Amino acid sequence: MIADRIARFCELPLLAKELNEQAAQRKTYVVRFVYAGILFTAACGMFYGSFLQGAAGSSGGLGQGRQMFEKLVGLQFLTIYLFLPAISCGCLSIEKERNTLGLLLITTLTPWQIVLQKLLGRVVPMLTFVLLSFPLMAVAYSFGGITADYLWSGIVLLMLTCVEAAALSVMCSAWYPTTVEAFIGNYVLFLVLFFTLRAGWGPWLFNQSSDASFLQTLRSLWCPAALTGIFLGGARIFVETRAFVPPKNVLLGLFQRLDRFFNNANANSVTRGIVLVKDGEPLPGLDPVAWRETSKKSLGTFRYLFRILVALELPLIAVCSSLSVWTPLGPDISVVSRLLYVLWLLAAAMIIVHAGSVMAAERTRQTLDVLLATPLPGEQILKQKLQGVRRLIRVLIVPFLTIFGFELWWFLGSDYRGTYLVLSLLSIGVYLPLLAWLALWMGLKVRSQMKAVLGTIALVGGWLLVPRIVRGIFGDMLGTGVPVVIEGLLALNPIEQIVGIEDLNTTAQLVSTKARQQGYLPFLILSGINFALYGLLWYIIRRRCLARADSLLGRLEPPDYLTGVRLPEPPASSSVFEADDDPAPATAVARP
Amino acid sequence: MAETKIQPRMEHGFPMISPDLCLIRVSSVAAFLTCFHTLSTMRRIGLISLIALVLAISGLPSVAAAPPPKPLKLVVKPIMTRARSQSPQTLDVEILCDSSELFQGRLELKVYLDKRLLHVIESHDLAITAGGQRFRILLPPLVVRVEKNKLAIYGRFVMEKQAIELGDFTLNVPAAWRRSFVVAVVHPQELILPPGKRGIAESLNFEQFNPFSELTFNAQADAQHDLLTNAPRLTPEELPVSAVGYTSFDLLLLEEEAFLRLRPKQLAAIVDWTAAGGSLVVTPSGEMSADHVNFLNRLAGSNPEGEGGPRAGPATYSLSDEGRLVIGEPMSAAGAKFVRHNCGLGRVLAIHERLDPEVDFGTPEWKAAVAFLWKVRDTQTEQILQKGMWNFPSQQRLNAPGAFRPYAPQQDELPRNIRQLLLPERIEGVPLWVVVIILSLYLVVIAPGDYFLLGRLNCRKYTWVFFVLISAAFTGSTVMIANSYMGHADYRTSLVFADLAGCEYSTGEDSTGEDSTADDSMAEGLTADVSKREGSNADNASAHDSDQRAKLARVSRFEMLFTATQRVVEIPARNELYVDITDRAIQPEASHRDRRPFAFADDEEMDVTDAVAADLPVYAGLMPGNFTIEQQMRQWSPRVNRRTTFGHDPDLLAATAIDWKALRPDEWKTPAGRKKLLEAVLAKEPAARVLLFRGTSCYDLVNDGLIEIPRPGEPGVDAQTRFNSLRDSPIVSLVYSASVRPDSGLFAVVSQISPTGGEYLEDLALLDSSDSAQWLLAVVVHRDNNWLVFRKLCRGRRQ
Repeated sequence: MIADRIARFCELPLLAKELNEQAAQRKTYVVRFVYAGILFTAACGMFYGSFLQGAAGSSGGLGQGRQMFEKLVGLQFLTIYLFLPAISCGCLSIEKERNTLGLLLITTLTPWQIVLQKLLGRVVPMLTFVLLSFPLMAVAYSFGGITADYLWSGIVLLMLTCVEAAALSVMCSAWYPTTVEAFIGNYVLFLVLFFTLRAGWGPWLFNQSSDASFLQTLRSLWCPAALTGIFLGGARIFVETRAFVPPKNVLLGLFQRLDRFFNNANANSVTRGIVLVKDGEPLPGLDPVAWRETSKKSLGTFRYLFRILVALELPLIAVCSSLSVWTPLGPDISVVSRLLYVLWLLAAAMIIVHAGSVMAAERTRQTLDVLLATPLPGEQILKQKLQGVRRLIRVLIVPFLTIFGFELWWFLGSDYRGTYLVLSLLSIGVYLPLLAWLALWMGLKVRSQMKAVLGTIALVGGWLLVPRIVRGIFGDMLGTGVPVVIEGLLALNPIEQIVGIEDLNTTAQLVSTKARQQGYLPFLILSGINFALYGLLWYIIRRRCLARADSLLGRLEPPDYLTGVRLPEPPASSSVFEADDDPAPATAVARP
Repeated sequence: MAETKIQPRMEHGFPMISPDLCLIRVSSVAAFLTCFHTLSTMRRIGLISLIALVLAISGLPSVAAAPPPKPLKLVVKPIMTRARSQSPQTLDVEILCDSSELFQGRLELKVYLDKRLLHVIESHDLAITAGGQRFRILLPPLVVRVEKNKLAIYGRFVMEKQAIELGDFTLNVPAAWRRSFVVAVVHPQELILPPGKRGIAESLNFEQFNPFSELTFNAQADAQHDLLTNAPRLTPEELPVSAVGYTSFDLLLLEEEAFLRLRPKQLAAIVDWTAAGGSLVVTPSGEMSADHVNFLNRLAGSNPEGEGGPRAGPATYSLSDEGRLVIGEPMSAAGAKFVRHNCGLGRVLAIHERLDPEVDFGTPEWKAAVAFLWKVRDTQTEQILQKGMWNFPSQQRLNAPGAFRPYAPQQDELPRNIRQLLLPERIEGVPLWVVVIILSLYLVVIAPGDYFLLGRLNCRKYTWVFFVLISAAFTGSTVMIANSYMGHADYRTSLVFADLAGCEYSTGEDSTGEDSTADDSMAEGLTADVSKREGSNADNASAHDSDQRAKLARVSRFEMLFTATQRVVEIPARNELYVDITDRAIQPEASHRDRRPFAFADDEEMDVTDAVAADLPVYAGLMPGNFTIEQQMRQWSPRVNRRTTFGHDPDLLAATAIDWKALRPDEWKTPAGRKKLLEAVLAKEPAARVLLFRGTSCYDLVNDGLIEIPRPGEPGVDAQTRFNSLRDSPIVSLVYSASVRPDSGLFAVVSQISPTGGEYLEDLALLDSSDSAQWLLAVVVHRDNNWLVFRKLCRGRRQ
């Protein structure tokens, strides 16, 4: 009886179907082969490349295995944490969005079976790619520096990490009603847990296992195992209890709750409900789409943006303050630089998510057709839709300026402060709007909101990784320096520019007198070319988007009666109520 | 209202604002509230942010917390304000204690270069009570590539249950590219120096002959101070009692009173250091003890008494009945105010009469003596005597892009070659072809193999299980292959350079011999009187030199540890310098260059500051006395260290029965003489490899081979290719490159530097390749896993 139940529990028909389908496809094997081929070639190039340059042969790299192994495992952890949530967070939420979860629940499958099958359905393909690196780890082991225990610990931890990260994603997918919310919620929850419960995650345990035996490492796995159990238990509960929760904007809900709290707090005899900054116009006015973007969206409304600004500024202030606290080796200004890089990441992510969603979200909610039915030209729709993004950019500029101002003040004696400021301002002036238009363009091209956002992130991330890859090929595989011409080309990458500008003052302090005398003209020229290039790219994307707005939005050719007709010009300064009282203009469209 | 100017001041490198600005802040807020409503939304955001920033900055001083008072305080003070490049640093460490409690624990010092941990030093167990404790430590050589990177020592007193943070101290160490020389002037504290008076110390500086000296005082030039001699003053009490403690100096100046105050232990240490390659100036006079006279005689090579041998000849120095110094007849007969000696591998200048700064320091004799002390090459000494400066071969570099650093250390493959030599032949990493076969097989099995095989068996659904099993099998088999290649044995191999004290021989040539060019003749003419004196002195020295037994002057031991398991190895050490050169032996020079932003075109090396320091040796105890190195060993990870000792080592010398005294350098010019040498060596060491170097020639006597080493920039086949033509070429090439530096960089000027015992192995060089009368004999003996290289430098003396 019990055996039957266990056997029935282990049937997992959904998983079996999914895996069988994948196993039958030639694509599965081709992808496996190509991925493994690239991975092995790159890794062997890195492992042996620089060592074979000298006469030492393969023994030249003895003792370097540890470095290789740790890099390899670190890369695998990063890949898992970066991609697995993206792959897994939609496993149940998509069913909810398609209204098929109810159907799944009325089958004979128990909630546990559903959860486990969804989990394994995501973990197995990911594990395939992780497994491909195991022989490489053994190659790293052959270079010395690591014990066999450390090697097996790394392997076990990677596998457990896969399951743990996927379990968290399944739980988020079971909780949130939409995939986008599950996606964001998953990363936020992961980051919170990762930094609060360090012992529960693979990277921390991997560091600890360096000098521990395999058995000790196995004993320390209780924490991630417990976390995985909690995530799966949560998923099991939520898959039933939150199967039919209607979608709602969590961020907006949070902000609205905060509104209620502050309004209540403000309604007292001292402050008497005074509002310092009134939140825009109460009615749409002449730019209804822009009004909606800046009044009804969480990332467009002023008071909500201000809260985001406070959330961004507070860590900045804390870090700047921490520089005055005594530390063993004195204040470390590079903390501020690191904060700037984090800010760039956050800003880019927020802009991409917002700009990539403005049109794609309309499509997902099936409201795009309604928008297209309005007598607004496509160009106007796009411009107004981006009003909220523009406002977001303006808010994001404030913490950037805070950091720039702080560094300007810190490096009082530097001759390069002016240049630093100008170039820094140019960087935010060019890159941020470019990102917004690029994400918008992707949102117009790609049908799904999720794909638009992920596609833009992949495109930008891939482009930013180019210098690192090229340097890796030259330095680690070919064992030579990067030629000056290629260095010049790499310098045109935004990541090089941002780091170069940020390090300008500190580098100027370190380099030789002669180098300083020779000047930094090449740097200025390269920076100039870079900003001109990206400025041009911004202009081209913007122009293409606006010029082909209607076709990109999927609007049909306007009917003949609209061709060449100029829409009525609204009065410049009158209110909407006054405008309504005016007689219809002569150019008003008369329907046949 | 008076204008208030914000004056940021630096405290811990952080600008502060004075608290009296509070009023201004209040008024600013009031003004802000007044005009707030008149602004647009976005401007309000800007203003609010600005206020946040101002508040944050004004809040900073209040956040800055002063460290709580501690019962212990640490004071770390280098004995010299300006250190010698690439050399160990001597520090005075004092732990002050304000409490009556007893603190038991260890002092832990961590040396950081920017963010990179360089060294960890732990003292012995200490008991600190009121009054504190003071001791001296020798830091291993510190390599700093960018001088502006902060080099700091961070101290902690670690007790059983708690640790007291003792703060950090900044060290001033010159960058590796900078040649910062140190002439330590020993001077009693109570003696006041006449201000502005030019003494011996001021006339000993090396850069007086630098052709780029005009750049030294040109603020626009980067070459400024890249070659600079510092002359710190030390009291006699501050001088170390251990010979390796003197590696912080290039040259030591012992003036009258200071010399007399030195203790016997210090004198012995100075002799050992000088014989190991140091340079010494001594001005003996007046009443002194027998120890001092013995010291002088040992320097002059004239008094073997006390060293186990009978007195063979008249002593150069002796004491009168009144206890005053009497200079021997041969020395005083020369009529010179000062005489030069070769003491072992080092140089000594003994000044017998007070020198007149106005007259004597400008004479060719003095210049020749200074060049002698700095071990300037023979050809460059002639240049100095003729033109007042040495000839630097690559002046065209002045116009090259990047910083002009003519004397920076040259790229050196020696550490890598040593590591390669010391790796046992049995140890071989898994070859690339094996790895390629394993991975290719794996690739074939998991993709096409899996697809077609399982497809044929009609069970593709099992691919997931099959794939996991195959991956596990390949991983396991790769581990097994690695195990079989690397084995389970531990190895400890070493390469020892045992340097015998040098000797002099008669070349049988006239000083204006056939080799002399017109310029040479002119130079000889200018220095005729000094040559004459030298001749008589040298006669004197060599007469006694031949009476001495062979002695080791210094031993440089390179040891490679290789373990098959991960564990901590403890290496006891005493009176020696220890430095781990693993990184230098593994990483190519290029990897010391950090990728930097492209803002400034610069070709200098940068410190790898972000690299994680792992498995650094922990110095437990106080170097150079009794200490232990705790080294974390990783599986199959060779670690290479360098250990340097000065002074005689009878056990090591007894490892070979070669009669060094019987060798006749004056005969080595002829094939018959070299054959005789070979026979003499092979009679005692049949398996020895006998190498003889002179100028650019390398004689491999056992294989009857001769290689002419090209000078840098010379066309033709490079040195390595020529060495490859020899049997067992790696050891020959290694011994040559360790003993003879190519004449580029600083070594275009000098042939040798005072010992450093550091990771730059420049101090191993001995031979002046520009002096055709110098021979370096190297006898290489292979015992078990150890290579012993006995080197003997023989300097020729023209009649």
